[in-house]
Amino acid sequence: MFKQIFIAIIIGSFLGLSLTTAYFYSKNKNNPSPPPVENTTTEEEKTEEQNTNKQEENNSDVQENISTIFLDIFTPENESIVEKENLSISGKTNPNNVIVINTLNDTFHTVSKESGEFDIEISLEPGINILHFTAISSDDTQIEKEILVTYSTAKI
Amino acid sequence: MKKYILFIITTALLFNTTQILAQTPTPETKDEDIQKIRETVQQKVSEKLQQMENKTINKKISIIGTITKIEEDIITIERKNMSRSIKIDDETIIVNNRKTTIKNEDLTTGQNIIAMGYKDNSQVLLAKRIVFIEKKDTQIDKIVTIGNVVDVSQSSPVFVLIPHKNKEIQYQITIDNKKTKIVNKEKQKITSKEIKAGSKLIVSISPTPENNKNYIANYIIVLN
Repeated sequence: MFKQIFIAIIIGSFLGLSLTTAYFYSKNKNNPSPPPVENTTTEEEKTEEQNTNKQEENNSDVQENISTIFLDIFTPENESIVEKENLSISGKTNPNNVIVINTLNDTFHTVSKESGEFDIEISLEPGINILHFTAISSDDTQIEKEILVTYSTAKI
Repeated sequence: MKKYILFIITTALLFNTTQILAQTPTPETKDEDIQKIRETVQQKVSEKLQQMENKTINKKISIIGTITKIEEDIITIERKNMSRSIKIDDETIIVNNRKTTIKNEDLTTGQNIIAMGYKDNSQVLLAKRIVFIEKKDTQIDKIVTIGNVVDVSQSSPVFVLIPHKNKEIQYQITIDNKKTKIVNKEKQKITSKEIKAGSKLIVSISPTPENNKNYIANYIIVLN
Protein backbone atom coordinates (compact mmCIF):
# COMPACT_ATOMS: atom_id res chain seq x y z
CA MET A 1 0.00 0.00 0.00
CA PHE A 2 2.73 2.50 1.05
CA LYS A 3 4.74 1.54 -1.99
CA GLN A 4 1.79 2.35 -4.25
CA ILE A 5 1.21 5.72 -2.58
CA PHE A 6 4.89 6.57 -2.91
CA ILE A 7 4.89 5.68 -6.64
CA ALA A 8 1.67 7.67 -7.11
CA ILE A 9 3.31 10.74 -5.47
CA ILE A 10 6.40 10.43 -7.68
CA ILE A 11 4.34 10.07 -10.88
CA GLY A 12 2.00 12.91 -9.84
CA SER A 13 4.94 15.22 -9.06
CA PHE A 14 6.59 14.38 -12.37
CA LEU A 15 3.43 15.04 -14.29
CA GLY A 16 2.75 18.33 -12.45
CA LEU A 17 6.31 19.65 -12.96
CA SER A 18 6.27 18.56 -16.61
CA LEU A 19 3.03 20.43 -17.23
CA THR A 20 4.39 23.58 -15.52
CA THR A 21 7.65 23.43 -17.50
CA ALA A 22 5.75 22.91 -20.72
CA TYR A 23 3.47 25.86 -19.92
CA PHE A 24 6.33 28.30 -19.21
CA TYR A 25 8.30 27.06 -22.19
CA SER A 26 5.43 27.69 -24.56
CA LYS A 27 4.78 31.10 -22.95
CA ASN A 28 8.43 32.21 -23.40
CA LYS A 29 8.44 30.96 -26.95
CA ASN A 30 5.47 33.21 -27.78
CA ASN A 31 7.10 36.33 -26.18
CA PRO A 32 10.79 36.03 -26.85
CA SER A 33 12.97 38.58 -25.00
CA PRO A 34 14.85 41.00 -27.27
CA PRO A 35 18.34 39.88 -28.09
CA PRO A 36 21.10 41.82 -26.34
CA VAL A 37 22.36 44.74 -28.44
CA GLU A 38 25.92 44.38 -29.36
CA ASN A 39 28.14 47.39 -28.78
CA THR A 40 29.32 48.07 -32.30
CA THR A 41 30.66 51.62 -31.82
CA THR A 42 34.10 52.14 -33.23
CA GLU A 43 36.90 54.01 -31.48
CA GLU A 44 36.24 57.07 -33.67
CA GLU A 45 32.59 57.08 -32.74
CA LYS A 46 33.53 56.77 -29.09
CA THR A 47 35.84 59.78 -29.31
CA GLU A 48 33.14 61.78 -31.08
CA GLU A 49 30.67 60.81 -28.40
CA GLN A 50 33.08 61.89 -25.66
CA ASN A 51 33.66 65.25 -27.40
CA THR A 52 29.92 65.80 -27.72
CA ASN A 53 29.47 65.00 -24.04
CA LYS A 54 32.24 67.44 -23.13
CA GLN A 55 30.64 70.14 -25.31
CA GLU A 56 27.28 69.53 -23.69
CA GLU A 57 28.90 69.82 -20.26
CA ASN A 58 30.58 73.10 -21.25
CA ASN A 59 27.30 74.44 -22.67
CA SER A 60 25.47 73.55 -19.50
CA ASP A 61 28.17 75.36 -17.49
CA VAL A 62 27.65 78.49 -19.57
CA GLN A 63 23.89 78.21 -19.24
CA GLU A 64 24.31 77.78 -15.49
CA ASN A 65 26.42 80.92 -15.31
CA ILE A 66 23.92 82.87 -17.37
CA SER A 67 20.95 81.73 -15.38
CA THR A 68 22.63 81.88 -11.97
CA ILE A 69 21.65 85.43 -11.13
CA PHE A 70 17.99 86.17 -10.51
CA LEU A 71 15.93 89.01 -9.12
CA ASP A 72 12.36 88.80 -7.88
CA ILE A 73 10.47 91.82 -6.57
CA PHE A 74 7.74 90.77 -4.13
CA THR A 75 6.43 94.20 -3.19
CA PRO A 76 5.35 96.58 -4.58
CA GLU A 77 3.60 95.05 -7.57
CA ASN A 78 4.29 96.49 -10.98
CA GLU A 79 1.76 99.22 -11.97
CA SER A 80 0.45 99.54 -8.44
CA ILE A 81 -0.88 102.78 -6.98
CA VAL A 82 0.14 103.73 -3.45
CA GLU A 83 -1.08 106.52 -1.23
CA LYS A 84 1.98 106.94 0.98
CA GLU A 85 5.26 108.65 0.21
CA ASN A 86 7.37 105.97 1.87
CA LEU A 87 7.49 102.67 0.08
CA SER A 88 8.76 99.35 1.40
CA ILE A 89 10.40 97.23 -1.22
CA SER A 90 11.07 93.54 -0.67
CA GLY A 91 12.40 90.85 -2.91
CA LYS A 92 14.81 88.01 -3.37
CA THR A 93 18.01 87.54 -5.28
CA ASN A 94 21.24 85.61 -4.77
CA PRO A 95 22.92 85.90 -1.34
CA ASN A 96 25.03 89.02 -0.72
CA ASN A 97 24.09 90.68 -4.00
CA VAL A 98 24.18 94.48 -4.15
CA ILE A 99 20.84 95.84 -5.30
CA VAL A 100 20.83 99.38 -6.71
CA ILE A 101 17.48 101.09 -7.15
CA ASN A 102 17.38 104.08 -9.44
CA THR A 103 14.43 106.44 -9.59
CA LEU A 104 14.25 109.52 -11.76
CA ASN A 105 15.78 111.76 -9.10
CA ASP A 106 17.39 109.44 -6.59
CA THR A 107 19.42 106.26 -6.09
CA PHE A 108 19.31 103.76 -3.23
CA HIS A 109 21.12 100.54 -2.48
CA THR A 110 20.91 97.52 -0.24
CA VAL A 111 22.61 94.14 0.13
CA SER A 112 20.72 90.86 0.17
CA LYS A 113 20.96 88.56 3.19
CA GLU A 114 22.39 85.04 3.22
CA SER A 115 18.89 83.83 2.37
CA GLY A 116 18.89 86.14 -0.67
CA GLU A 117 16.02 88.20 0.68
CA PHE A 118 16.26 91.96 0.84
CA ASP A 119 14.12 94.89 1.89
CA ILE A 120 14.56 98.62 1.73
CA GLU A 121 12.41 101.66 2.29
CA ILE A 122 12.54 104.47 -0.23
CA SER A 123 10.68 107.75 -0.64
CA LEU A 124 8.57 108.35 -3.72
CA GLU A 125 7.96 111.41 -5.84
CA PRO A 126 4.33 112.42 -6.38
CA GLY A 127 2.97 110.79 -9.53
CA ILE A 128 4.96 108.38 -11.68
CA ASN A 129 7.86 106.51 -10.14
CA ILE A 130 9.83 104.25 -12.40
CA LEU A 131 11.92 101.98 -10.17
CA HIS A 132 14.90 100.56 -12.01
CA PHE A 133 16.52 97.68 -10.14
CA THR A 134 20.03 96.38 -10.80
CA ALA A 135 21.30 93.39 -8.83
CA ILE A 136 25.04 92.74 -8.96
CA SER A 137 26.41 89.42 -7.78
CA SER A 138 29.79 88.66 -6.24
CA ASP A 139 31.08 87.48 -9.64
CA ASP A 140 30.08 90.88 -11.12
CA THR A 141 27.18 89.62 -13.21
CA GLN A 142 24.19 91.94 -13.39
CA ILE A 143 20.46 91.61 -13.81
CA GLU A 144 17.97 94.45 -14.27
CA LYS A 145 14.26 94.91 -13.70
CA GLU A 146 11.93 97.85 -13.90
CA ILE A 147 8.58 98.45 -12.26
CA LEU A 148 6.12 101.32 -12.23
CA VAL A 149 4.65 102.62 -8.99
CA THR A 150 2.33 105.60 -8.88
CA TYR A 151 2.12 107.70 -5.76
CA SER A 152 -1.26 109.37 -5.86
CA THR A 153 -3.80 110.39 -3.27
CA ALA A 154 -6.37 111.33 -5.90
CA LYS A 155 -9.75 109.61 -5.58
CA ILE A 156 -9.96 106.81 -8.11
CA MET B 1 -6.87 1.15 -9.15
CA LYS B 2 -9.37 4.03 -9.29
CA LYS B 3 -7.98 5.36 -6.02
CA TYR B 4 -4.50 5.08 -7.44
CA ILE B 5 -5.36 7.15 -10.59
CA LEU B 6 -7.26 9.72 -8.53
CA PHE B 7 -4.26 10.14 -6.26
CA ILE B 8 -1.93 10.66 -9.23
CA ILE B 9 -4.24 13.29 -10.71
CA THR B 10 -4.54 15.08 -7.34
CA THR B 11 -0.76 15.16 -6.90
CA ALA B 12 -0.24 16.31 -10.48
CA LEU B 13 -2.71 19.14 -9.94
CA LEU B 14 -1.01 20.10 -6.68
CA PHE B 15 2.38 20.40 -8.38
CA ASN B 16 1.00 22.21 -11.39
CA THR B 17 1.52 25.97 -11.06
CA THR B 18 -1.64 27.74 -12.01
CA GLN B 19 -2.28 31.42 -12.41
CA ILE B 20 -4.17 32.84 -9.48
CA LEU B 21 -6.49 35.56 -10.57
CA ALA B 22 -6.94 38.19 -7.92
CA GLN B 23 -10.37 39.59 -7.45
CA THR B 24 -10.60 42.74 -9.50
CA PRO B 25 -12.04 45.74 -7.67
CA THR B 26 -15.44 46.77 -8.80
CA PRO B 27 -14.78 49.60 -11.30
CA GLU B 28 -18.00 51.37 -10.48
CA THR B 29 -16.97 52.11 -6.87
CA LYS B 30 -13.55 53.37 -8.02
CA ASP B 31 -15.03 55.63 -10.71
CA GLU B 32 -17.46 57.12 -8.26
CA ASP B 33 -14.65 57.96 -5.84
CA ILE B 34 -12.53 59.52 -8.60
CA GLN B 35 -15.51 61.53 -9.79
CA LYS B 36 -16.14 62.81 -6.27
CA ILE B 37 -12.48 63.82 -5.85
CA ARG B 38 -12.53 65.54 -9.26
CA GLU B 39 -15.64 67.50 -8.40
CA THR B 40 -14.22 68.61 -5.05
CA VAL B 41 -10.92 69.70 -6.62
CA GLN B 42 -12.73 71.53 -9.44
CA GLN B 43 -14.92 73.33 -6.92
CA LYS B 44 -11.92 74.39 -4.80
CA VAL B 45 -9.95 75.55 -7.85
CA SER B 46 -12.85 77.59 -9.21
CA GLU B 47 -13.38 79.18 -5.78
CA LYS B 48 -9.70 80.16 -5.61
CA LEU B 49 -9.73 81.48 -9.17
CA GLN B 50 -12.82 83.55 -8.41
CA GLN B 51 -11.14 84.96 -5.31
CA MET B 52 -8.02 85.83 -7.29
CA GLU B 53 -10.06 87.37 -10.09
CA ASN B 54 -12.02 89.54 -7.67
CA LYS B 55 -8.80 90.61 -5.99
CA THR B 56 -7.29 91.58 -9.37
CA ILE B 57 -10.38 93.37 -10.56
CA ASN B 58 -10.71 95.44 -7.40
CA LYS B 59 -7.09 96.50 -7.38
CA LYS B 60 -6.17 99.99 -8.50
CA ILE B 61 -3.53 100.03 -11.17
CA SER B 62 -1.78 102.58 -13.33
CA ILE B 63 -0.28 102.28 -16.78
CA ILE B 64 1.76 104.70 -18.84
CA GLY B 65 2.42 105.13 -22.52
CA THR B 66 1.91 107.15 -25.68
CA ILE B 67 -1.55 107.28 -27.24
CA THR B 68 -1.43 105.54 -30.63
CA LYS B 69 -5.12 105.10 -31.39
CA ILE B 70 -8.42 106.59 -30.22
CA GLU B 71 -11.66 104.74 -30.99
CA GLU B 72 -14.85 106.02 -29.32
CA ASP B 73 -14.45 104.78 -25.77
CA ILE B 74 -11.24 102.78 -26.23
CA ILE B 75 -7.82 104.32 -26.47
CA THR B 76 -4.64 102.40 -27.18
CA ILE B 77 -1.33 103.34 -25.67
CA GLU B 78 2.11 101.95 -26.37
CA ARG B 79 5.29 101.71 -24.34
CA LYS B 80 8.38 99.66 -25.04
CA ASN B 81 6.70 98.04 -28.08
CA MET B 82 3.78 96.85 -25.96
CA SER B 83 0.22 98.01 -26.65
CA ARG B 84 -2.43 98.36 -23.96
CA SER B 85 -6.12 99.22 -24.18
CA ILE B 86 -7.85 101.72 -21.95
CA LYS B 87 -11.59 102.16 -21.70
CA ILE B 88 -12.89 105.62 -20.95
CA ASP B 89 -16.38 106.90 -20.17
CA ASP B 90 -18.08 110.13 -19.16
CA GLU B 91 -16.88 109.71 -15.59
CA THR B 92 -13.21 109.51 -16.56
CA ILE B 93 -11.36 112.60 -15.37
CA ILE B 94 -8.70 113.78 -17.80
CA VAL B 95 -6.10 116.28 -16.62
CA ASN B 96 -3.77 118.01 -19.08
CA ASN B 97 -0.25 119.47 -18.63
CA ARG B 98 -1.69 122.68 -17.19
CA LYS B 99 -3.48 120.62 -14.56
CA THR B 100 -6.88 121.57 -15.91
CA THR B 101 -9.63 119.08 -16.62
CA ILE B 102 -10.35 118.47 -20.30
CA LYS B 103 -12.96 116.51 -22.26
CA ASN B 104 -12.48 113.02 -23.69
CA GLU B 105 -12.59 114.48 -27.19
CA ASP B 106 -9.50 116.57 -26.47
CA LEU B 107 -7.28 113.50 -26.26
CA THR B 108 -4.90 113.24 -29.20
CA THR B 109 -2.52 110.60 -30.48
CA GLY B 110 1.12 111.12 -29.58
CA GLN B 111 0.23 112.35 -26.11
CA ASN B 112 2.00 110.65 -23.20
CA ILE B 113 -0.36 109.74 -20.42
CA ILE B 114 -0.74 107.87 -17.19
CA ALA B 115 -4.09 106.12 -16.81
CA MET B 116 -5.33 105.03 -13.40
CA GLY B 117 -8.28 102.77 -12.74
CA TYR B 118 -9.36 99.16 -12.47
CA LYS B 119 -8.95 96.17 -14.77
CA ASP B 120 -12.03 94.40 -16.12
CA ASN B 121 -12.33 90.68 -16.84
CA SER B 122 -10.75 91.10 -20.26
CA GLN B 123 -7.74 92.84 -18.71
CA VAL B 124 -8.76 96.22 -20.16
CA LEU B 125 -8.16 99.15 -17.86
CA LEU B 126 -11.32 101.03 -16.96
CA ALA B 127 -9.76 104.46 -16.57
CA LYS B 128 -11.03 106.68 -13.76
CA ARG B 129 -8.32 109.27 -14.14
CA ILE B 130 -5.95 110.12 -16.99
CA VAL B 131 -3.13 112.62 -16.53
CA PHE B 132 -0.85 114.02 -19.22
CA ILE B 133 2.81 113.40 -18.56
CA GLU B 134 6.17 114.27 -20.06
CA LYS B 135 8.03 111.46 -21.80
CA LYS B 136 11.22 112.33 -19.91
CA ASP B 137 9.45 111.35 -16.68
CA THR B 138 9.12 107.79 -17.93
CA GLN B 139 12.73 107.26 -18.98
CA ILE B 140 15.62 106.66 -16.64
CA ASP B 141 18.88 107.31 -18.45
CA LYS B 142 21.06 106.14 -15.56
CA ILE B 143 23.62 103.40 -16.10
CA VAL B 144 24.60 101.07 -13.29
CA THR B 145 27.86 99.24 -13.64
CA ILE B 146 30.63 97.63 -11.63
CA GLY B 147 34.24 98.26 -12.48
CA ASN B 148 37.68 99.35 -11.43
CA VAL B 149 39.11 102.85 -11.29
CA VAL B 150 42.09 103.15 -13.62
CA ASP B 151 42.86 106.83 -13.21
CA VAL B 152 41.98 109.63 -10.82
CA SER B 153 42.49 113.26 -11.78
CA GLN B 154 44.57 115.28 -9.33
CA SER B 155 43.23 118.62 -10.56
CA SER B 156 39.49 117.93 -10.86
CA PRO B 157 36.92 115.59 -9.28
CA VAL B 158 37.08 113.21 -12.26
CA PHE B 159 38.06 109.56 -12.48
CA VAL B 160 38.11 106.92 -15.19
CA LEU B 161 36.39 103.60 -14.67
CA ILE B 162 36.58 100.45 -16.79
CA PRO B 163 33.46 98.29 -16.38
CA HIS B 164 34.04 94.59 -15.79
CA LYS B 165 31.46 93.54 -18.35
CA ASN B 166 33.16 95.39 -21.22
CA LYS B 167 36.81 96.22 -20.75
CA GLU B 168 36.96 98.10 -24.04
CA ILE B 169 34.81 100.90 -22.63
CA GLN B 170 36.07 103.69 -20.40
CA TYR B 171 33.73 105.93 -18.48
CA GLN B 172 35.04 109.37 -17.59
CA ILE B 173 33.04 110.19 -14.50
CA THR B 174 32.70 113.51 -12.72
CA ILE B 175 31.83 113.71 -9.04
CA ASP B 176 29.42 116.52 -8.21
CA ASN B 177 30.09 117.37 -4.58
CA LYS B 178 26.51 118.54 -4.13
CA LYS B 179 24.69 115.76 -5.95
CA THR B 180 26.89 112.65 -5.89
CA LYS B 181 26.39 110.31 -2.95
CA ILE B 182 29.45 108.23 -2.07
CA VAL B 183 28.92 105.31 0.30
CA ASN B 184 30.51 102.01 1.22
CA LYS B 185 28.71 98.66 0.95
CA GLU B 186 27.27 99.20 4.46
CA LYS B 187 25.68 102.50 3.29
CA GLN B 188 28.05 104.65 5.39
CA LYS B 189 28.88 107.96 3.75
CA ILE B 190 32.49 108.35 2.69
CA THR B 191 34.42 111.04 0.86
CA SER B 192 35.74 111.06 -2.69
CA LYS B 193 39.26 110.65 -1.24
CA GLU B 194 38.45 106.94 -0.81
CA ILE B 195 38.31 106.58 -4.59
CA LYS B 196 41.78 105.65 -5.78
CA ALA B 197 43.27 103.95 -8.79
CA GLY B 198 42.43 100.27 -8.45
CA SER B 199 39.28 100.86 -6.33
CA LYS B 200 36.38 98.57 -7.16
CA LEU B 201 33.17 100.56 -7.48
CA ILE B 202 29.53 100.20 -8.34
CA VAL B 203 28.40 103.42 -9.97
CA SER B 204 25.11 104.90 -11.05
CA ILE B 205 25.97 107.44 -13.75
CA SER B 206 24.14 109.66 -16.22
CA PRO B 207 25.50 111.09 -19.47
CA THR B 208 26.18 114.81 -19.27
CA PRO B 209 24.00 116.88 -21.60
CA GLU B 210 27.05 118.59 -23.09
CA ASN B 211 29.10 115.51 -23.92
CA ASN B 212 27.81 111.98 -24.20
CA LYS B 213 31.23 110.53 -23.44
CA ASN B 214 31.38 112.17 -20.03
CA TYR B 215 29.21 111.03 -17.21
CA ILE B 216 28.09 112.53 -13.96
CA ALA B 217 28.01 110.25 -10.93
CA ASN B 218 24.70 110.00 -9.09
CA TYR B 219 25.71 107.33 -6.63
CA ILE B 220 28.99 105.54 -5.93
CA ILE B 221 29.41 102.44 -3.81
CA VAL B 222 33.04 101.87 -2.92
CA LEU B 223 33.58 98.12 -2.51
CA ASN B 224 37.30 98.22 -1.59
